[in-house]
Amino acid sequence: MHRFAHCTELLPNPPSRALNAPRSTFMPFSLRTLVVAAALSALASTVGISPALAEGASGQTIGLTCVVCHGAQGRGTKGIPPLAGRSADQTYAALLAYKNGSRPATVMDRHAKGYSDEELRAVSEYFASLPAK
Amino acid sequence: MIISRRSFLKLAGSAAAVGAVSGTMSGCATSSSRGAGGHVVVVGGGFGGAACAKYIRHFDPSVKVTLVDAALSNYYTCPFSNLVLAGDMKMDEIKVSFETLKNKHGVTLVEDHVDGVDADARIVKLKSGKTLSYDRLVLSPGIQLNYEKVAGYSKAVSEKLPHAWKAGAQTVTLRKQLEAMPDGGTFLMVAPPNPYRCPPGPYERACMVADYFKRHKPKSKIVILDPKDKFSKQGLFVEAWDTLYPGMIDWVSPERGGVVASVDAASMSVKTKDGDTIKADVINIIPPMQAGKIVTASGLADDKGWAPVNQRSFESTKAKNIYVIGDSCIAGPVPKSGYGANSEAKIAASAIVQSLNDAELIVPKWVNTCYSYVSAQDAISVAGVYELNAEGKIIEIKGSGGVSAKGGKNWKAEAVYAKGWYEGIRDDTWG
Repeated sequence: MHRFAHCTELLPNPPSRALNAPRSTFMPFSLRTLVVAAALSALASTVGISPALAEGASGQTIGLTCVVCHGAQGRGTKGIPPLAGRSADQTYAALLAYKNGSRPATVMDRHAKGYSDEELRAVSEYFASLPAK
Repeated sequence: MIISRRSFLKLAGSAAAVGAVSGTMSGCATSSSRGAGGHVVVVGGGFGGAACAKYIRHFDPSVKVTLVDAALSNYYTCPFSNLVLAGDMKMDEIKVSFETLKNKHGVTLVEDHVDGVDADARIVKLKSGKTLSYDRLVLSPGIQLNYEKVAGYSKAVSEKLPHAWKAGAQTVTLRKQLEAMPDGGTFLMVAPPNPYRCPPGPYERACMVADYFKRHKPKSKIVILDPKDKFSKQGLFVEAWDTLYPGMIDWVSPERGGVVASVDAASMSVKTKDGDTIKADVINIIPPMQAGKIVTASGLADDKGWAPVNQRSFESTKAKNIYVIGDSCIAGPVPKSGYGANSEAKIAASAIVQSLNDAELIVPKWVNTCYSYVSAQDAISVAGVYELNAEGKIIEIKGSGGVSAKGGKNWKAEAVYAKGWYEGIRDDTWG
């Protein structure tokens, strides 16, 4: 089984115009995300919704900045906890607590304040979709 | 483009209304996609270039990526090089291998110097005489040091008065000089003007040299001549200096005569603009900087020597299909740090894959965290989260980021996290 075969990203099947090909061996949903995003974007313009910056960044875009400390694919590093495979609710609750200052922190409070609640939810779901170590 | 659940749901709702997409909400889809292919050449194997090469392959394995750097077999990270200066780490521990990029991620490695870029023909010319054609080019060459902006300083003089601002041979030279210095000697550092690579770096260096002196040469002094009247994490650094090394470090602001007029390697002295001459046993000159040579030589820099880029894609505003990331580019408030370069690399990688696939750009977000050691067991940090505003400028998000709390209560914890950060960013960039 592919190591990401159980991922639960909330995306539709690619529309028929997308290219079909065998899965890559490395993070196969990433390009799909981009292509689907493009397809949805094209669709959005046809129905009068234009993607706005104000909507915030995706869970993956945010998550790719977290892994610098929390380890590749969120698997953790010495002294810094893993995020991959943790329940989205648990991660989200921790991030909200960092954001509102109710959970003591060295640096996570300074990070969490940089995101909307929706972005924190999205990044929590991104890491929940990755396989635990 | 937004891929969060919330916005997906909104779009999916619209999609259902027009019947254009038959979406499912469960799991990975059974079909996948292949990109349009193409060849991306990445120049520079540091935190920006290596991460960009890896993440382009990650986002679209159909894209061929060639990474060019003259020092692929001899590459050291600047982060943690100040711990080498203090004798707490060995050069081997800050060395980087590119094998995983090649073997696991399919990046083609070329150890060569880049002589020039032909943006019209989309060709990179190498010192060996070979050329590489590209569909997209990423330049992440770091910084070049403007030796000539300090009177009396040059690349040749830097062998005696090292900058040690590119980790490698100069790190070893400076370490040897510190080891050879007698107890009671003076270490003089000339700090650079803004903007420069690693804003807290000079002051972390002062801490780590002080830590070494405290343990081995406690009668020694450190003088920092600075052309800036303030610096990164200043309050925290000064607190650490006063607490850990009282009386050892003298930071000389411009107001106190910190601006340097010239250096003299023969007499091991530095003359200030105020007319003072300061002699020292070890002199570390960190000269003014600008974008890497390939960026300035290719006409991609502005009149201040740094590369303006589209802030959403990092494509040069001066040449199509060329992306400049890392220390060389202008990224608003994102500092010239390894973390900043890694963060920019992923945004550029996604923009490049999207442009090769005619897809729309994602909504970007950048992060920086810079840990600085104040002793071998203690560290402080500065962090920032950044986004694009409606005018297309990168801004630091209000209320986010900032520096560690004062009082030193998190020094020990942050030293642990600094090591975790280093392990993590190395793995994310080269692993």
